[in-house]
Amino acid sequence: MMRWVRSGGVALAVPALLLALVTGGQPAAVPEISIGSVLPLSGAFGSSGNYFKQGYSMAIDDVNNAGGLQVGAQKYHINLTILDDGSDFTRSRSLVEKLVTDQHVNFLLGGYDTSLVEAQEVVPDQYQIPYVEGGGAASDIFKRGYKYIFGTLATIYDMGTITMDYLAFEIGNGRLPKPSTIAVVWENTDHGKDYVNAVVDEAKAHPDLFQIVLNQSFQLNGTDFSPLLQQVKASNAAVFLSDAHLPDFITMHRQYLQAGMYNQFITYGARGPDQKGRQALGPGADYLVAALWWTPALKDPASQLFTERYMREYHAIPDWFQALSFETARVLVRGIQDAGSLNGPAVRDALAKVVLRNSLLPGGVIRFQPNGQVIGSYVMVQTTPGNTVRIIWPKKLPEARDATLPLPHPQ
Amino acid sequence: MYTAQDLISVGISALLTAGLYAVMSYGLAIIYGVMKVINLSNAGFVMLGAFLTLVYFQQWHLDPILGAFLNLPVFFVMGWLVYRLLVRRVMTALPIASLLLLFALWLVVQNVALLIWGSEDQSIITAYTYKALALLGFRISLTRLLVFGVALAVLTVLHYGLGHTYIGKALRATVQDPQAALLVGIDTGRISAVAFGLGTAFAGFAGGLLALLFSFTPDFGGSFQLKSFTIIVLGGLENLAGVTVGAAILAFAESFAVLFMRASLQDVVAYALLVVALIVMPGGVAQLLARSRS
Amino acid sequence: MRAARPAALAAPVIGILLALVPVIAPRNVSLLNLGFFTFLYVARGVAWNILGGFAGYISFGYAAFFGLGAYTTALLWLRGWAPVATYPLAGLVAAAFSLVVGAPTLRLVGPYFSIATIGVGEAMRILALNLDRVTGGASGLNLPTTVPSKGWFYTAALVCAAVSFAIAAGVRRSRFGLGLQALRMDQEAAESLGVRTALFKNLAHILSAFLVGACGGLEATYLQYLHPDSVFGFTESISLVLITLIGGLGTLWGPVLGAAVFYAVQDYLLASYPTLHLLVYGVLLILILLFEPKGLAGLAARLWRRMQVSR
Repeated sequence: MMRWVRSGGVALAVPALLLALVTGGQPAAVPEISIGSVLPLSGAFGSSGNYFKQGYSMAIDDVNNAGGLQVGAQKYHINLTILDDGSDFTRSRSLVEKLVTDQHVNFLLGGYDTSLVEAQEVVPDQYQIPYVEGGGAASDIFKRGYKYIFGTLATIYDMGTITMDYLAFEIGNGRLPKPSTIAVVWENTDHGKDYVNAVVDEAKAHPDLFQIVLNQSFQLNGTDFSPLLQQVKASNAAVFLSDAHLPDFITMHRQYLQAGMYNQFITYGARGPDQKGRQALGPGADYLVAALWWTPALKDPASQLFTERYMREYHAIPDWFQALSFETARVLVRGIQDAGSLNGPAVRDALAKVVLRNSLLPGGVIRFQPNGQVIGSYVMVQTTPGNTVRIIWPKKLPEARDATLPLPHPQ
Repeated sequence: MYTAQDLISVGISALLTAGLYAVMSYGLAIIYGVMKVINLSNAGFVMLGAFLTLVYFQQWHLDPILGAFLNLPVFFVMGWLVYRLLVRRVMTALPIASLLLLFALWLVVQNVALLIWGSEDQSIITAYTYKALALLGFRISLTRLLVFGVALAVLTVLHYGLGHTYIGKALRATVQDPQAALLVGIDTGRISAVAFGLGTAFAGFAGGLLALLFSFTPDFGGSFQLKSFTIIVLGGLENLAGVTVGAAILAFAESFAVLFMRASLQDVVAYALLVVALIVMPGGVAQLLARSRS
Repeated sequence: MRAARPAALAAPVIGILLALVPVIAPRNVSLLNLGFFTFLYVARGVAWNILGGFAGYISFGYAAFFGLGAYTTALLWLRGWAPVATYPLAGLVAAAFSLVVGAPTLRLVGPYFSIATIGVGEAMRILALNLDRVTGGASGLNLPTTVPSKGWFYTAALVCAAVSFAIAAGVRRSRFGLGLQALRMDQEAAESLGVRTALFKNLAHILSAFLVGACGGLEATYLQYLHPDSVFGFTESISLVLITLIGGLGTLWGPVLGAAVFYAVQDYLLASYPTLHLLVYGVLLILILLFEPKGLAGLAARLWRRMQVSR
């Protein structure tokens, strides 16, 4: 009799103790509100996740340093909690849920990279907590009918489309051949698929302008892109389109340069101007074209202020990661202010109607479509020697200049 | 569809990649061969090797290849210490325990690297990073050629060492038959420590060479690790020289497969080879060769 | 035999107590979620232990079964099936696959088998990443947005854990279980004694794969989103090995304790030490492995013996 009491007791005591440890959370003290975010601070997306942490922190620090967040008649100090999901999807989702159920956050800022956002996005509606993200760019995120999800990134599909629009423009100018043969390689992720779909769709719509001669996907973290690049070379394409994340961009373009390859127009999606890419490739990254959500070369006051501030704090030039995450947090804060309340549904409705002017984003305004996605666009740049960039599209931007096309031949 | 020149070009890059793969897998092979333990912390030490090489480069302008050589003694000591303080204590228990211990060590090493260097992508650019050698109409990347050359040289030295020094022969004996080795008076405990040190030294060395070619973060190394298993299995798990052959088989299979199928399926080649090799010829290529000889 | 009976009551009693939680505290979502994940880990760990602990075949590729089960449920659910109805099918798909890969690989000896399982697991992951039309590939799979309550998930996971535990307990006591233990200790000797080692190994493999596959289906329902890198990932496979080892390889209660500790500790660390969790977790594991390689069950047994001696 005593034996089974003991064994049962031991078996119960251990998990019970641990449960007590884990669920003993403390509610936030007034006047403080909690904003939570689950980002990849380690693992495959670690580098970008940390940039997002910087952006969120900067924006929240701004609010706190100005005396706090004005909600109705009360000012609140914002407590920002950022957890690490290690780039793991299941963990990402369960941590977001934990932030809500255990740490009682009032609002959520999104994670980084599309698939992690897609894993996270099932949670906010369940608890009626508004969720604003700047790290997921797939249109699928906004097709599931969730009401509490808002995103500040224009889709990758749009990135592909705008790149093709720009190509069409330069073909029209006679600076690229008509039709232009295109070799497109893309990483086997959501990102890459969205991109190549846009390229293929545009090519189908304008067969007189574009002719795809190579379409190949590759696995992330490749060790040797020579066979792939061999195919690109054999295709004799005028235009080389590639969609890759930073490590693959560095490996691939290094091998591209070493193989002595040449194309009249090269783009790696959003890669090229980012600081780490510049560092890794040096002059090899010159004259690449990129489609970005933001660039420090934008001359509007908000962008300049942000760039200066970031450089003062972190002694480095910011990329779009920091700018977008900064704006994402800012728009959430604006939504809370507009709602004048901490009530989830109320803030959600305020976000649906929000108009944030003086935004860093190209166009200067943040506004959401009914499905929660931002009405946004891209700016295209060409990297120029000396770690500079030149804005080349859209032409209506005052900073826009002509690109150097076709690309100069390597020495 | 592909010209002879295209194919030869792919062949050349496959050969260069084989050198890279071989040097990456040697550490794993030595530790497995002597201790029968799959060293899951190998990736962590490769990553550390890359980061330390970066430090040498930034502080003393030491060329990464020299940095890789500097890593050899540094990491040998590290590996020796890890063995004496941690692994030795678990070896007597279940073998699975040492495997998980090394996995746990990998986690610790990753976090340490994150705390020291952060999560940003690092790269090393030297004066010759973009240079290529023009040979008979083919362009060969200088960095890859150097890595191949260095790998070949070091592996040759290692092979000589294994064949002609006491420690080398003792190592090989322990790999072949631990019981018999004990019987002839080999201190297998000491040999295991040397093996672990050597294996870790090679991981650090590989890391230095890889830093010349790729960008890296504390997350670096995981994707190489699983390929390395394939390589040591293909070569023959108990055969150290076989690693070079295994590396060549994998590199060539991968490179040519890409020409004829979706490049994103490239890794399946590695894993399919692994499983097939284990089932059809568990002794790897070495076993095949031994069989054909007898 | 009389000593076995009181101890055997411990399991159902604990089970009933845990089942009452959603009744007593239906609003404590945090507890219900914790329970969900913990019970699923228990279910998988116990299942893995049937092959890994009882039979001694350490597999690092169970993510393949987990993923197959998850995607089976996902695809059927997207076609209008009720998720619950899909779980047995998910298990069957995983079991069928385990037969296909098990037959050749189980013939391999210890470490060779382990390495082969790594290859199988990773190959499945990459295939899933590429078979876009079936799995959605690298975009992942977005699943329906209406799901049952947290209480339902808690109870379903508890049922999975209970079923898994019951099956493992049953196996352990049966001749089948004895045979598995025999072949773990010395396969040739067992074979010579008449134990049908090949049959038993494969049976253990299929049984555990079925359970893990069904768990995959349940987790897919909860997550409402699947991506090959998560359900087919190496992390998933190695978690099962870790749980069982922390708890005690080959014991019945080992994986249960291991799963509870593993999940609770990891959860706590992730929420409290965002920048240090890998370090703390790794150090904890190292300490456990250094000081008690037999796991928590071994520790409990040691304490038990000490209490007995001091009486």
